Amino acid sequence: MSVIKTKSISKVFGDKKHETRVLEDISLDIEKGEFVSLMGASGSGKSTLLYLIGGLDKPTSGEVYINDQDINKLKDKKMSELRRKNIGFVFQFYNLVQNLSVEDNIMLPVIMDGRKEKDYKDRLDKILKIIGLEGKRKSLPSELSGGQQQRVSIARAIILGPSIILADEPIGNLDSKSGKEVMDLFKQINKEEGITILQVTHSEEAAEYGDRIIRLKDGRLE
Amino acid sequence: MRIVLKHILRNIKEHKIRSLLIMVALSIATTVLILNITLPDEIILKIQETLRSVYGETDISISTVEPFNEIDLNLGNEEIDTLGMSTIQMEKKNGDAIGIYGFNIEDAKNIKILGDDVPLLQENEVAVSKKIADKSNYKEGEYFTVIYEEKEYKLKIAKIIENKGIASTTIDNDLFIANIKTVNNIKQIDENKYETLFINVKDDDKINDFKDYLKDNNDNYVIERLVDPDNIREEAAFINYIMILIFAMATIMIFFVISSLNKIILAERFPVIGTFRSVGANKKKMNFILVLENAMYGLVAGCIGSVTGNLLNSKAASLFINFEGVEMTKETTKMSPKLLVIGIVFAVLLQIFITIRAIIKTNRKPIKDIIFNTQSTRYKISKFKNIFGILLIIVAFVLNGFNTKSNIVLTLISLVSFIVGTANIVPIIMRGITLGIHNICKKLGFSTCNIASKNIGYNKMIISSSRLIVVAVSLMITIITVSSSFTNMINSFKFVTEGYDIIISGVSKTADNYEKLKKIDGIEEIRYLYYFADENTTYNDGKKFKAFPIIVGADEDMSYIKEYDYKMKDLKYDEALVDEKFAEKNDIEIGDTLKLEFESNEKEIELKIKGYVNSTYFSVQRDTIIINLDNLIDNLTDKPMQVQLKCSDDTDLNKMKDKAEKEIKEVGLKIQTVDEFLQAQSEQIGSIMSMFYVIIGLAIALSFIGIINNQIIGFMQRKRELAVLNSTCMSKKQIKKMLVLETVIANFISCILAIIGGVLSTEIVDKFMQGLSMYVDIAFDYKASFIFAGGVFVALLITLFVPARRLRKMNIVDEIKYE
Ligand SMILES: Nc1ncnc2c1ncn2[C@@H]1O[C@H](COP(=O)(O)OP(=O)(O)O)[C@@H](O)[C@H]1O
Ligand SMILES: [Mg+2]
Repeated sequence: MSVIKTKSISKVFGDKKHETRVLEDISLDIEKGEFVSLMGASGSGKSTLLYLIGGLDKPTSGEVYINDQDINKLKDKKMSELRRKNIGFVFQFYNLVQNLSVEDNIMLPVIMDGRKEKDYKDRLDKILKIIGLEGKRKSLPSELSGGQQQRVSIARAIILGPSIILADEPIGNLDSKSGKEVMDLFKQINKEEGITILQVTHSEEAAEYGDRIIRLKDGRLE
Repeated sequence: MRIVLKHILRNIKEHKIRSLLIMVALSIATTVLILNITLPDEIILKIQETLRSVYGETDISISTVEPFNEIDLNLGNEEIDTLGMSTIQMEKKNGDAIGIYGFNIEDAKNIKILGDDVPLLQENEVAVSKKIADKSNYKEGEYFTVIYEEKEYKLKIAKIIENKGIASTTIDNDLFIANIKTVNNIKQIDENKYETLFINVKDDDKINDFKDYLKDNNDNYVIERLVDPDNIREEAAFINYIMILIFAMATIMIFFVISSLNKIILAERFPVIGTFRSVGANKKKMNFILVLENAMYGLVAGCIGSVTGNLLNSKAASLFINFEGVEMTKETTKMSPKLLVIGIVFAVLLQIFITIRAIIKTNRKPIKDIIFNTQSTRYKISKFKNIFGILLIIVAFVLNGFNTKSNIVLTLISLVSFIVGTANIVPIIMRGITLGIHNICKKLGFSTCNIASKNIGYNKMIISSSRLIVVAVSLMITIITVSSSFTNMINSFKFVTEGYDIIISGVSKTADNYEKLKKIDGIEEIRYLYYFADENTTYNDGKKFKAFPIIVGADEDMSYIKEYDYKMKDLKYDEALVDEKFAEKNDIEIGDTLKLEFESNEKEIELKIKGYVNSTYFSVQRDTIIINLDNLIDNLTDKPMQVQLKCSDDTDLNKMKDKAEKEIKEVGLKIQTVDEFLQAQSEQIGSIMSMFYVIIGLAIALSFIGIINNQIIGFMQRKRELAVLNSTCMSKKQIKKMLVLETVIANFISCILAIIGGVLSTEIVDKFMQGLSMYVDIAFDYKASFIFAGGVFVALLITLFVPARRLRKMNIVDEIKYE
């Protein structure tokens, strides 16, 4: 069964006079449990594709299915619910709410889904252990290094046990040692939790962590 | 240097609205400053010139009960011009009353009480001003008949004259000018006598000496200086204090508004600053550029404020001047270049003072942070600020406690310390309360509220808005309390006059002289109000009271003073009751013996305190001692302060006033209907109130500007955070709900804190009012304060449109994307 499926989506920015065709006729299928790396030159449309899949933006034409659900037919509330429960996002920057502690940041999806925090106590402990930040649970994001912050956002992405993680250059801003730690974490999550991962990356090295590499060139799949 | 200036000008142009708001705020502060400096002189000038326009060169007026003549007076050897005046009130055939002022026309023109166009009026000829002729449709050459003491007279309108001199005044009835012979004839006064004598002293420096000479040598005459600059100055001093208070409050408000606006400007300048810095401008130079930019705001606002201040000068002065029936002069003080300089220097320094700290702090940041604009939205609570704030509040109240003499400067220092102190501790209080709410919501599972309440205590802009609300609203509540206390004061006069219709004050004879009023048809009852007060009353060998007492003489119950344990009518000669509040303030108890000493008459009386009363309806300051009436009459004053008349229901009170006046014939009397009396009391206060309302208006406008700005910058800074929240766990609706909850909760707490702040700062402003010798019992008006704070809270809901609109327009992808 494919977890992510796009049916010949294309994306055009701007109006008729100044239109930029960013994506054209993209159809792809990602199976449950896959770890896919999306590569391509800067400006080739990788982020755009990822956001379309995550429902942060709408395609100009074509359809996006998450777990066989056409996400562009969902209302704001349902869409948000889908993102919260099924998709975990990890961005390059600005991932955390600065006012909230590490554990509050991780628990955000739980709180916003109206669930009881104490039901997730054990899961939180387990995840903190996985990301190796048990000692920093009360710290503020500003007190953490970039790699640590990125691990916190991964923790937040998986707290509700989503089926997919979408990561946009998650280690683009990190030194190579922290980058490797974050990639190892992704691999571990992929293996142990069976979460499907689609990551955008520049680095061949990072791409190698995936089972499969998809390449974008000038808005088309190679 | 040129490039820097160019850059500054472009900055101002690009951020028109914000630059404009800053300049508006600064201009207001400057305007108030200029008004502060110029108002006393303007008021003096206005009063002087207005009186001059009516009374010409008259310096002194003399009057008494019976018509008199110069030879009755001792006028000494001073070189003077004199002018006699007789006046008369008559009725036209249709019942309308008219008034006639009679002069020797030649002399009157000479002394400039009449304009040059008044003809030498013959017997039974009158002149009337254009204004009145237009109003009542009088024509030149027309005759009309008037009745005086049942005899008819035919008068001819000889000329319609310019509205000049005394003819420019309006009284209740139509006013005519006539030859004094005409008036004296009708009134059957000796041809050479008059009722009032106006005197022009040739040498202006000698006016006061001459007035004193006249007073010393002419008993039984009322001698008044018409335009006495010293006297006016003294009265203006009071207004000056009010203006200082307004100035202090306006400046404090503006300080907070500008510092919040300034944060936006600096935030927007960030990239520019970064660019300048990265091409080699050092911190000092950047500080200089930004200071220069702010100085520019000061310069422009200083000019505008100075000019506005000078333009408003005349209007503001007329608020405080109350001339009945006289058209106020158009004269106004000239704007001096010195004032312009003062205004500009003030505005520039104020602006730099407000912004310099933020500028230096901004430039201390690493270039990278500045270029990438990664400012933190997190509010860091500093221990220093908390301690500083608490210390300032303590200082404010300690100073206030020590300030027993109600020194104005000390009061202002207390007020400013209190406000700055409060502003400093608002963040820690907000954080404490919202963390409490956060924990409760967490337990109850209110997810959005949980996050929202946590955000409040940590977000710079929300905290900044809260501070603004607390400071502004508590100041406004203070003002409301003061003004409602004034209103109470006026209302309290009602109780003292309850049931009576006419008030006679300024009486100079003992009560038995007024019993004859009972003969007048329509007067049902006469009541005398006896009290005595001496500013320098001491007790038990030189001890001072907190505020001097008013000694009321009583021989029967008074409806407006409530007794508790001992009846006023039972008071023996040496017994007394005290107001419970007065007793409390001065540690007086039942059973005590008080030996009161009065400086003004060097009298002493010894009193046994028998009980307490509540005298709030007699005097809001409640500094009242009630003693036996005979004791008061024997030792303190044998003249009543007021004679109150109760008339039968169908009495024409205005006519009754005239009848009473004729019956008593006494110099210096003031006879008013109760309505007039209350009206006069409230008018005095009205002008001060209107100034207060001006500040409230300003404060509301300024705070609104500040708060909307905080909303905008707050949203700008949090856009990315909100986008992340939207993409990971919250729907737009939830985000909107979160933002609304943040504002609502924060504003609600702020309004509550403001009420507490209002209660406390009222204590300090109370001292201020006492410093002005206004012993109004300032009672905190909870109801009005809650209503006002509630109103502010509701009004602030409007500011929610800012995040709501911006959120709708926000594109998440744009915010998250990082190229
Ligand atoms: N909102 C937008 N409006 C116009 N053009 C855009 C917009 N967002 C992205 N683009 C364009 O789409 C192209 C692909 O962008 P992006 O998906 O961010 O590339 P990548 O992530 O592969 O570097 C770029 O050329 C960019 O300029
Ligand atoms: Mg990208």
